Amino acid sequence: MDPIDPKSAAMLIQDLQNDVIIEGGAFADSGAPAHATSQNVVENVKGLAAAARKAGVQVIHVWYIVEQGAPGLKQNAPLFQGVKDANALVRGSWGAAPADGLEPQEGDQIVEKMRMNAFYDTKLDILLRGLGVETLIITGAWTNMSIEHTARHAADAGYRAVVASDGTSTVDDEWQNVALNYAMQNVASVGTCAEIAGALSS
Amino acid sequence: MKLDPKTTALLVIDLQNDTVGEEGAFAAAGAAAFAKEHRVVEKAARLAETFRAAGAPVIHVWHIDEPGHVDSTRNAELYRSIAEADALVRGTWGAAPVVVPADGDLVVEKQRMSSFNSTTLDTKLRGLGATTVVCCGAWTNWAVEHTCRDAADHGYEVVVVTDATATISEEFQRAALDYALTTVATRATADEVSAALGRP
Repeated sequence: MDPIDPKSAAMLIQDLQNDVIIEGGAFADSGAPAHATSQNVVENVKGLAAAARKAGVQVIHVWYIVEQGAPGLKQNAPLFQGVKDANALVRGSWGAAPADGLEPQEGDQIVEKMRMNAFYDTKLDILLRGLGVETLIITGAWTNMSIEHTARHAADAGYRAVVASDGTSTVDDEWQNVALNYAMQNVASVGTCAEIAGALSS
Repeated sequence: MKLDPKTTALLVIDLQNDTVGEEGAFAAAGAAAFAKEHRVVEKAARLAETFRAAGAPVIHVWHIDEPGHVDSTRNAELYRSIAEADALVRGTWGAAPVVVPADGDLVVEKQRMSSFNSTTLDTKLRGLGATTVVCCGAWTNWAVEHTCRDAADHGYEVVVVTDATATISEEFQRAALDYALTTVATRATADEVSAALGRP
């Protein structure tokens, strides 16, 4: 992986919330907790976030949060119907909280969203411009939904997008492969958390 | 599926010579062969006719770069490859549409992958009163998928036309249509869309 200048990089930790990846969460039936475990995503992201903070990279948590009953969450697609039907990601609930070990640290930023793309109607782009970010390191879940959409938008918005192959998880290996090995190959750089940490210090 | 022509718009995305034409800049990638084999241009053109006949809006979305690609941010391989191939340049044969707009059609130009990014598309759809977008065009797993994703985030009902979309191979087509898009869009053939508009 080409070097990443920590001064112009930010790291996203996206949707790594209990409902999304933890056993007992609202979408556990999808297989997401098992895939998160097989990817070791929490530990890998925790490690990369520590390396990023040490290098001076801004860490930004992106959380999918709706109010009780999901008011205003337009039900125009199965994805959004699923969030409402499962009563998932409700502000203040265990399900909306970050997975154990991925709580924000001092100096981290938090961006809330209620659609798939982390850029859509959020403060993310403003924050990145204000911070002088050129390279966006993207970790989180689910790879083929929010992660891929955010990487696509980051590319459209002019950022160099870097996606962590083992710092992301979805519902199974097949969906992970489809997310990382097709369109993503010419939208973003894909590398392991270790490779990204290495690129930050090279 | 039922589609109301008063609230449904057709998006014809990136159907230009460079993206699907036999002499186009990306023909070697397999794009032209795929489009030809599946008669994608013909199906998209016929779908556009159906929309017009039903009184539903047709919006052409074209990727247009300026000569020399002077204002293209080359931050991703996708944009570098367009610049390196000198593709989709304003005024060239490569940038010209293969589905020609008819009177009353609308045109949106874009410079990036999503049809929504920094364009007037959302403004036009709102102004037209469209709540459903039907997406056809190229390439399925790049601009078409990204446009479907953004349309869903924007609150539109989304239909992706499985046989009026083209990419570079069957494998890429399946990667686009059979995974994430199943959670943001309804998949339908051109014939199914026509029938849903009440114009079989």
